[in-house]
Amino acid sequence: MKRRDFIKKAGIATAGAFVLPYILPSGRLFAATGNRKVNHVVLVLFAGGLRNIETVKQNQSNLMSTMLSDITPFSAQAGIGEVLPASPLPNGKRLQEYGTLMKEFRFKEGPTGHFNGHITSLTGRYSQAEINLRTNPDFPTIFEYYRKHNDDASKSSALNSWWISNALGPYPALNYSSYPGYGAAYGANYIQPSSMISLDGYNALGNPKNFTQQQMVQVEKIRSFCDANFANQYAAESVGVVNSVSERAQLDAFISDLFQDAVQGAGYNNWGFSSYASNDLVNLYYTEKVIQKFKPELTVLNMQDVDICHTDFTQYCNLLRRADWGVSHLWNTIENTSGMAGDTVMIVVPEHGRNFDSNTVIDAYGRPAFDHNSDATSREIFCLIAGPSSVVNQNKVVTQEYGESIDVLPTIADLLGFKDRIPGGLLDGKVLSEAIK
Amino acid sequence: MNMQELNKYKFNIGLLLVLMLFAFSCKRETKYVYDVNTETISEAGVLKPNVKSNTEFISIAYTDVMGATISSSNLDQLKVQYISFGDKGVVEDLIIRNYLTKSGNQIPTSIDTDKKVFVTNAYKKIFNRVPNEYEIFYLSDLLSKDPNITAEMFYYSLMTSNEYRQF
Repeated sequence: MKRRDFIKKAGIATAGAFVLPYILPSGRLFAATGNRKVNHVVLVLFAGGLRNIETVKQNQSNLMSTMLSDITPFSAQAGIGEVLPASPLPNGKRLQEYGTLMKEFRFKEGPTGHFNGHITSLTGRYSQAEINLRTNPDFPTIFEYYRKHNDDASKSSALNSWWISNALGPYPALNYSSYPGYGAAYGANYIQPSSMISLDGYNALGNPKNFTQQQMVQVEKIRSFCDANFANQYAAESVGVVNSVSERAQLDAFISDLFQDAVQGAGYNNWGFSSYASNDLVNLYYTEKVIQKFKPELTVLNMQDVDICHTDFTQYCNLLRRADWGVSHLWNTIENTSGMAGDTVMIVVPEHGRNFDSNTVIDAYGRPAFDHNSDATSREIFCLIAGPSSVVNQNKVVTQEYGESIDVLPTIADLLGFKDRIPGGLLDGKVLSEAIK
Repeated sequence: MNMQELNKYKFNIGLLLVLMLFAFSCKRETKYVYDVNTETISEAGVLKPNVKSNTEFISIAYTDVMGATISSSNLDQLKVQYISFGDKGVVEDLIIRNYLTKSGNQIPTSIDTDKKVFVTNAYKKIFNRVPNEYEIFYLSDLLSKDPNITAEMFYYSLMTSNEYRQF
């Protein structure tokens, strides 16, 4: 071997010896330095069980006339004729024009139950959890992935990730998992607004003693003395999500503002509906409040009113129309909120569908009701992704079968730039590249 | 001195030495028994290993502030509020501060002239134990030096501390 070759090969070998130990499990030499496509994602779980037959196929005419372009324009039918407020979207645009509509999305595996469907969307894994309600998911949620693997540690505050549910039951448990290394420390802030911002809620929490800042300094002095002398260092955080002292002050002020807003007449009363806004609309309203106050990078909310379809198909159609209107209102709010406008992707997806065959219940208008028992139709859903034209393909419709529920989480992770930091083996889904550029 | 006297003298000296040997060589040992007075001591928290359940926290706090048992309907309402928000620290704080504004609450309106008595009574009521000497000293000293600390602030501090969350 010539002397020059020897020196060259020895140099390469030496360099390799230094570099190889630093190659990450993902195969990358260095951790990603942040390849976000947007800074905000809002996931709308259009839940409660929606059949494609009534949504994207428009068999009852277009019941989602603010979100979807018409195949069959909405026409009033017996019991389904409420005159809704004008579309919240400008210039008569439909929400699908702001992005990509995947008409044949699938919830492929696991029981078509609400909780199970939620877990699948939030963990990116199919689950059999239907029979094990009210427990934290076994695998990390999107909130934990976001907070733990975020490219900017300064943004990993719980104030930047929210889970807003329209009901209690098992849903409070979905803001973090029991997976080792994740859990409450990376969980989302959670609120169930229609329970909290209510008359009962106001009576219980709406009139707190307010201490001045100076008084709180003294309070903290006494409290920290007590805590320092207490051998068992229990903290309430150990059973819930963690916020810092200053973040808690912001949350406290936020709750106070919400009560004041409710006392003065919550804004959803002025949305123009002839009767009480549905629970879904209330949840959307408070989601908008969260967005306007905190501008979170990751917001997940759900709706479930359409589950009335178990017994009342006509009301299912009516509540679907209201939910459609509300989602467009949410998008309009996002697009008019400084810091969120033009920098947010909104993903709308049901957790599962409903059966093709009806059950035995007939509503007041003679329409049969439908359950969701894991037949093929109950696995057929849609997915709509709206966002800036630089990130999301605009006005695109995917008509063939494409995408499934477990793809939602990787897509969000890709949008917020932390997908490559998620440890291998935890996710099976893919980025929805038909929609995302 | 003749020989006989000399021998007698030597005998007496020897006898004296033997007597002195017996007199000073051994002495009964005095036994001292050292002991301490019986005192009950405990480290705060050792006797409170259990975390209160949500229901226990809400109802015990109500009783401590109002001096009465919470009604079942009120308890049910508060339990709903408790699970409606993710950060339990925020909710617990709100619950306590709302109790403090209820009319008829039993929190003292002023701090006793004897700060040690005030601290002791507060500990008995809220922590269900007698404060140790160090706690009495530190807190009564704090109250003496800062007249702006109110009884309400003091009770609120105790009720939002870690110890109050356990039993």
